[in-house]
Amino acid sequence: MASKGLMAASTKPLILSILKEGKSYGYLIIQKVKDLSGGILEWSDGMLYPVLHRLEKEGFIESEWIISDNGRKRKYYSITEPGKLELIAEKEEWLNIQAVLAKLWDIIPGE
Amino acid sequence: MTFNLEAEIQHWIRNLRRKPGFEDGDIEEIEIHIRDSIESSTYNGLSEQEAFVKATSSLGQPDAMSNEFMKSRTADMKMPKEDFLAHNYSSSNNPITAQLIRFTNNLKKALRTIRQNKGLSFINILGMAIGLAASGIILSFVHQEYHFDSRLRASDKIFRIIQKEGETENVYTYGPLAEALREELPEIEASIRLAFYYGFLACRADENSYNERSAIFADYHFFTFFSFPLVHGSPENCLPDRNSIAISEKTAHKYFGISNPLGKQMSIGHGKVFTVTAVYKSFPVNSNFRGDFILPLECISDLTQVWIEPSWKYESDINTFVLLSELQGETELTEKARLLLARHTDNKRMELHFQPLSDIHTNKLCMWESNPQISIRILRILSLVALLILGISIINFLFLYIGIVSQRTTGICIKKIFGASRRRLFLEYFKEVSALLFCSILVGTGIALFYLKMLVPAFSLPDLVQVDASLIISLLLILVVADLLAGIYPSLLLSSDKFLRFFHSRRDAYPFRYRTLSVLSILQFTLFISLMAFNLLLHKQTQFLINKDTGYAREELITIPMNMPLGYGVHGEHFGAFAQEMKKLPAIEEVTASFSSPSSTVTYTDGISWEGLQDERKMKQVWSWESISFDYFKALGIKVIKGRAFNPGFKRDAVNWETRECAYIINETGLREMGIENPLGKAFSVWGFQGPIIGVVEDYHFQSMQSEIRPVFFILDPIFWNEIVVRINPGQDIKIEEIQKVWKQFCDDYPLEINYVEDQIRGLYASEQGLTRTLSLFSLLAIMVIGIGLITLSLLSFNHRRKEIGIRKVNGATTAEILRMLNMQYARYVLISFLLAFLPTWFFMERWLANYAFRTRISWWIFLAAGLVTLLIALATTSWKSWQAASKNPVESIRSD
Repeated sequence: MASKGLMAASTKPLILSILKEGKSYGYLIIQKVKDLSGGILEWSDGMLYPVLHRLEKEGFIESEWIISDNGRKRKYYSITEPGKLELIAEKEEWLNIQAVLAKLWDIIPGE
Repeated sequence: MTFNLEAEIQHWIRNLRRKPGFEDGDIEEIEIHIRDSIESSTYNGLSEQEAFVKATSSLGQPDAMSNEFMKSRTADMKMPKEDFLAHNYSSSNNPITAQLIRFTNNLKKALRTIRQNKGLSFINILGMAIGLAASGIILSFVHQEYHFDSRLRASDKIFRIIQKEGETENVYTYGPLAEALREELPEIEASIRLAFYYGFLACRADENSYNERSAIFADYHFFTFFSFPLVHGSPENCLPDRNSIAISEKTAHKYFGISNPLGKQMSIGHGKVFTVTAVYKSFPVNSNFRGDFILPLECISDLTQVWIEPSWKYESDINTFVLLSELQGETELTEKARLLLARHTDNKRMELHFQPLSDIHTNKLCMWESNPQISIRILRILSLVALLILGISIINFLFLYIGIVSQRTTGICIKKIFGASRRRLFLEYFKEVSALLFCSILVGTGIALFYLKMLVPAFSLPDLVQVDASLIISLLLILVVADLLAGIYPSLLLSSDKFLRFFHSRRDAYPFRYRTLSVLSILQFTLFISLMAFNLLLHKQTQFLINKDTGYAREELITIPMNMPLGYGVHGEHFGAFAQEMKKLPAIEEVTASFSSPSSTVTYTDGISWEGLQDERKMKQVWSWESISFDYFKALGIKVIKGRAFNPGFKRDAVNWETRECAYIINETGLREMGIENPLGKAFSVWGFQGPIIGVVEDYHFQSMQSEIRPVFFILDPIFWNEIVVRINPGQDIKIEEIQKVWKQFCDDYPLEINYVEDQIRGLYASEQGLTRTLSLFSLLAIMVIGIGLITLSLLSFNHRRKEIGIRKVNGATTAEILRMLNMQYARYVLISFLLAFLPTWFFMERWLANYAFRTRISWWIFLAAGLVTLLIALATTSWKSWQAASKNPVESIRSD
């Protein structure tokens, strides 16, 4: 289980990365995170939606109501152009941090 | 008890709905989430109850969720969205994206403001757009009038020679002058002679035959001197010899259709054949030149009665233009030219002046120009109107914008409280104003295009073809100034602390004193009334000029161009026979001939003298002249008040070129000019022809009524006949075929053309009417801008008085009473404006009418009508809003304040 602070920080890149693969709705996004992390990252489902809404407000993602094949109405989210740019920036940041930590912990041998 | 899944879900959702922080769709989204989760759990083998518990518990506590949702809503309150985004992007090293997002956000925000106040913003944009378009069109027009022929190569170095002797100035010059100037003065690089001919030329090519009446006879190098663009042919070789002709593109189409006219033959007059050697683009509207043909100056005497004297004996009817090698002091050049003239002629008093090409159109110097002129005074008035329109638009825009913004002061306050700096607020407003102005510019451009593409062709309004860098730069400059004026003031005001204190004290919903609005309203009403009244006067004056009695039977006269040389067709000795044949037709009363149509004898000559005329007055004598046939006065219905008219019984009446003798008839004004009691038998002379005055006729208007009736003398000389003047019997229909039949007997190969004198008289005032139309259109635009301003001001003042109206209603005033009260106020404004407008407008009208020799009266009804129309418009624009204000539920208006 990851710490609360790290969880909060990672939601944005996670959601953006998942949506980069294609549009999706809340329940499916949560399932995907669970499957990928094998349970390390376990969100409280109710917390996802406020995050989605905030990202939408910030213009990184946009939503639309779509009636699916089984007749159920779902709110689908998809990534916007600014969202894609934001994801690039986020990715860079995470990789930078990861590289620093990796050096410190000698995962990658230092010079 | 069985587990009812549906009821449990509903219950849970209802519970959630009671919590704060959720918006439309949030709950629905969560409900779907629960159902998805339950579906997948039951699929994996859980019971409905287990699945429900798992789904809801993984969502978290309702209170915690509500908290999170609330946070996500209020997050953007702390930091406005656009700044948050822009900040992020500038950190993501992508300035272009950041800029783009900023721009779209600003635009979005401006659009949001516009959407929120649809009606008002629309009015605001429209008013400003009309103002910008109108002032832009007017200023472009003025610019164009000041820049005639400026597209020609070295146009600033081209000058026209003006001969000045004492008080009199004219453009006629000596035949050899052009050559002498070029050879003897090193400052003059080139020179050219032109004669504008507006008599008739009967032209034929293939099967097409027309009477043409605008030709330029020019020296061979016309197109190298003036760089008018050619469609076919080369400038160096446009008029290679005396049998060549250059024609305008329009004329080429008329005679030769779409085929290339180069090398084609064209015959003019009696069998003179010319070869087309060049086709030029028809002269643009902003040219001093008019003419469908350019012919070699050499052949002018073959085709017309005009004679170019090759010696320095006397001047001929030609203009001389020179091209200076470089611009220099005019006085020095004038002195050199004077000395040059003194060397060649014995006239020591004559001076030569150099008139810039661009000056010709606006400087009324000569009696007669090839293109109608416009006075600088009119251009000044137009510029003033343009600036007035622009100024009013800006003021209206500014006030309306502040009015709109002051309705949403809450937002400003919140921004202030959250620490927005004044600079930030200022920039925000400035951007918003600029976005509004940007919309106005777009709409304004649309209006200007509509004017150029639709209105110009439909109403023959002035076209705008002179678009150059200086115009575009000045227009852009005006836009920038307008933006700064309309943007900086409200932005400064709205971002000021004073404004917020103002808002805070809640004394008022509008940052201006009520009196400011009244003053602005009255000011605009005053302008409105003045413009209306002036428009009406213009119209009245034009109608007056057209309808005023000319002193002859204008309705019963027609003219037929005598478009053949002397001795051919009906010209000269055959004319008597032709007149006899014509008179046999029942519709025809009289047939006579003259130099020009009775409506426009625009001839002038000096060198007149008579028995007893003192030398010092001799110089000042400039008379008009007319060469007529017998029965001319009878045909026109003009009384001979002294002596007699020309009579075939008196052999010595006609001009005799051998003995240089002839008889003269003068008009009343001429008699007054002579200042003698009994002129009959007194010797009169001009151009070296001597003879007695045999009669005096009553005055009639032989020219446009812009000028006084001038002294005129009549001679009888068939050489100077251009027009057959026919008096028709008003009781009979004239049959063109019958006239055609008679015409064919005499001149089969010349086209017959019939013109009504009545139409020609109307034509005299075409430029008047054009000007009236132009001024009307422009003042109409000004009126629209003012009208929009009035709507604005009334809206703002109603907002201002909303509370008052509410209280009045609460205290028992009826809607009708309040309506009357509000409208009475505007009626009072109109009355005050009327009184303010009256005297200055009257004064201005008097000055305007002073330009005309014959003028209409400034009637009381002009002012009454202007006042009434203004009142009507004012009440119409305010009534709907006052109705709204007055019929509103008072509770709303009082509470909302």
